[in-house]
Amino acid sequence: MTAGFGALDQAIVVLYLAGMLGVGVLTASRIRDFRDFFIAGGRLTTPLLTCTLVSTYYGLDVTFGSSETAFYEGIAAFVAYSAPFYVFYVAAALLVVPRLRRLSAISLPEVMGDAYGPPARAAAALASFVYSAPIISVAGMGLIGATFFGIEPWLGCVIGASVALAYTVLGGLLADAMTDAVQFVIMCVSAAVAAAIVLVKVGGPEAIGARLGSEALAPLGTLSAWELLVFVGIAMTPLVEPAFYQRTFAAAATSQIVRALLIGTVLWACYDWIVVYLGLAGRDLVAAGHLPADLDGSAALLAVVAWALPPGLLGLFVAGCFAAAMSTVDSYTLIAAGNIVYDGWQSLTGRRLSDRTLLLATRLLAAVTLAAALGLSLLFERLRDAWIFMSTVLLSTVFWPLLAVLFLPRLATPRAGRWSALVGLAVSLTLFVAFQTLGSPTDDESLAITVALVGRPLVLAREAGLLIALPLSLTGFVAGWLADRRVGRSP
Amino acid sequence: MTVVTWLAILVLGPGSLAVFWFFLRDLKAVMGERRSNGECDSRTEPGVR
Repeated sequence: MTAGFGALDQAIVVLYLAGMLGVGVLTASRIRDFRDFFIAGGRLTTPLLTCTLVSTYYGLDVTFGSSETAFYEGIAAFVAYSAPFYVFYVAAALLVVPRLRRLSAISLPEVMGDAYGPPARAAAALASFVYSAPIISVAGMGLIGATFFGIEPWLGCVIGASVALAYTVLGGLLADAMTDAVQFVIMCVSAAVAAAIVLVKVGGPEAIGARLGSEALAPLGTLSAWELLVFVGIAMTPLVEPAFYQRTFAAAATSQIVRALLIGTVLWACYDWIVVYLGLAGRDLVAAGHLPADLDGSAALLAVVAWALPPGLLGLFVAGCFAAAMSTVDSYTLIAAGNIVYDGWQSLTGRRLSDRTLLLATRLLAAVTLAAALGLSLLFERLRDAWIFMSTVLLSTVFWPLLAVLFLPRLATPRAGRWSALVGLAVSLTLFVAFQTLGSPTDDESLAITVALVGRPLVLAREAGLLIALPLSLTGFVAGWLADRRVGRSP
Repeated sequence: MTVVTWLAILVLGPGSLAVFWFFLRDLKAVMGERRSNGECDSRTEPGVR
């Protein structure tokens, strides 16, 4: 157990976990059908939507991933990785949400299915499942358990995931959103308090930059051009994000979800900045000898707060980390399970399931989803790589078809969407398997394949998969559209 | 950048508490009301859905 993490801190974390279970029990009686379970009956208002969006979309992948990137790359973690997202959050709020609200679907794959047919819906369901499997947050809870409670990482994963699973299975999205609200305030306040204390103890970014060297504050750090391109590409995810879509359909009114996304964008930017600052402070503390020289970047944030915070506040921060993880685990487990049952199973079999069967199957599959997430989490050394892989699969499968449905419906012909989705899904998954089996380890713990291009060697890193799969998905869309046009299927 | 960090702290801490306070104010409505599929909020969404 980490020094300084005492009985009071442990009690705070245990109390928090018990409180989450209580919310699940409280909301369980509100569930009457699948619509209640999956989109909370369509009655969420701006404050609750803000809480659930902010806490769901920012889990341990952002908390640990951004601080890890800042630890290695400095302020570039904010400028190059986080900032491009804000453009697409605002675009999602102002351009995507009003169009989505005119549709009668309740999930992202259903939007695909309504426009392009069952195969496209099934492909989108699988892509959404891969994207939504809460790989990073499940693994992160193991890290927290091992760091602060001295238990085996797998046991931390199982305890955290079991609590999240219990209340999600009981109360669906309503329990998920209600717990998200509590988790939201814990994660935001604990991050703000931790940053304020570290700021006083360590000094601001300028002071850190003066000690570490100016490259720590360089806006683009040491990132290469292709890495920047991948980051900007990944930042488009909010336009086709399953949790955003689910909450858009769950909102009581269009204005409520638009406001929530805009308020959320401001809070996300603040959270990003604080987490990046804490990662940078970790590097500074390592250089000063206060933290171990072999400290791994993914553990930098926890190490900094454990060094800086007094008892009680440390417990609050650990509860905040659990909150960030659980709010992501519960939401995406619900989406992943719902996508497979509601979208995948129904579109593949052509059978419409009763509400009772939908509810039962989704609840059962939630447990399977968490087990799969735990297995997948073992395949990635760096947290950010897992996030890039998941986003690549989602974007490659649904980006072009969904954009066509929302903005250019005349181009949204059946073959266009189907071919684009199937090509994108197949290419992104094939690339992943190819990198895992044929790739060689790189200096930054990733995998790369060297291919010959016009007689010259070209090194392809695993993270560059998006730059291959997304254009091929677009090619599939254009080819499908041309095929439909030729046989006179287009409207 | 230090000023930006303090600003982020001030917005994130008190800002999240303010949002949470509004959530508590809405809690009764969220737990109590139930809208049917396709029903629109006529006050805010005239003509939509």
